Amino acid sequence: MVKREVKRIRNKLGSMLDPIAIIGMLLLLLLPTLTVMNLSPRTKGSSVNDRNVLGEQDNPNIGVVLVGGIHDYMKEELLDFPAEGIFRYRNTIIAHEKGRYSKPILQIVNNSSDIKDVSVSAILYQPSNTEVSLILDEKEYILVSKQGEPFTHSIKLDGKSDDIAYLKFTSSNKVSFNNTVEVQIVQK
Amino acid sequence: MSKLLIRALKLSILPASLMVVGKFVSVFILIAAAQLQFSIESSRQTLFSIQVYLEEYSDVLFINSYSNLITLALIAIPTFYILARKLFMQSARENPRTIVKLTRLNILKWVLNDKTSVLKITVWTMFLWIISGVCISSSISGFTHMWIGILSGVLSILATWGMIKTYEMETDKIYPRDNQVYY
Repeated sequence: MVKREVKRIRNKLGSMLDPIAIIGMLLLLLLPTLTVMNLSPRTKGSSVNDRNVLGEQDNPNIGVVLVGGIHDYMKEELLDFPAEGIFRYRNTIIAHEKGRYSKPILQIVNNSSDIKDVSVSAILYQPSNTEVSLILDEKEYILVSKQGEPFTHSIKLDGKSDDIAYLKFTSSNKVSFNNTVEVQIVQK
Repeated sequence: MSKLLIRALKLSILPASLMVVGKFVSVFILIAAAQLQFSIESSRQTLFSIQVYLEEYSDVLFINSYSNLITLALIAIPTFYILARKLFMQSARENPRTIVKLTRLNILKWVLNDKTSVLKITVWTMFLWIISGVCISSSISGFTHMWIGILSGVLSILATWGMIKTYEMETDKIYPRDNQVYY
């Protein structure tokens, strides 16, 4: 009789363990799958979907961004893009004393591996005996002479470069009115 | 507890272990053979919070492709071995010519000693489906060569056909067809 009772308890326990066995079976199927998927190496950063996208790695165009910031005499900065490859920067030079003034205005980025050519020119809306120049990569390019004559410069941007362009103006006497300077960068 | 479930659990241990060990060993052997720089870092995007990282996408493609291929082979070869043996045995019993061919190839004893059950074939085929699914999804995501995904799909279809054939043979024993003799 004891043997029969033991057998009955064993059968009951056995049927209770069946769901656990089924879960065990599912885990034996699921865990190796997840482990195999997890062991597959990956790269850090951009995913494979970015390979065929003309994104930051393969963009043939240069990028120009406004630096911003505060300056005592250069206000109301504006950057717009009249057409592809053309960047137009404008600011207002307010009345100032004789002297030299400069401000970082634009961040110019060339994400491609090739050297890009750009032409830079500027206009000063009102002649004011002020020389305007652009400083890029430690080189100074005079864009408007003291006599008001505009110049266009061709600049080469190295591949994978990221430079800050400074606008510098030099006034040989006091200027009592506001003026507007417009710098145009054209990607060739 | 159900005897069938216990047997299924016991039969599942070997293919599950082969999958995990095969993938693990093949990844690191290939990385060592190709002398690639790798790092193991924690990641929130993966289930186990640890991920192997390589420098270049081309390295990832190479390692993933060939480690998946090795893991697929480790599951597919035993599966087809079991299926072949079972199918040869049934063919030998149906057709005397098969016995002659097997005798000439000296594999008659190997075939007749087969005690493979349908449950064993089912378990191995399920694991082959799983690894094929991993290879195919990896191919679609671009982390494995497409030909490996296609190969795994073909192998899983063939194994499924073999498994269905085995089931047919077993059910024919219970419900024999006309003019057929089953042992």
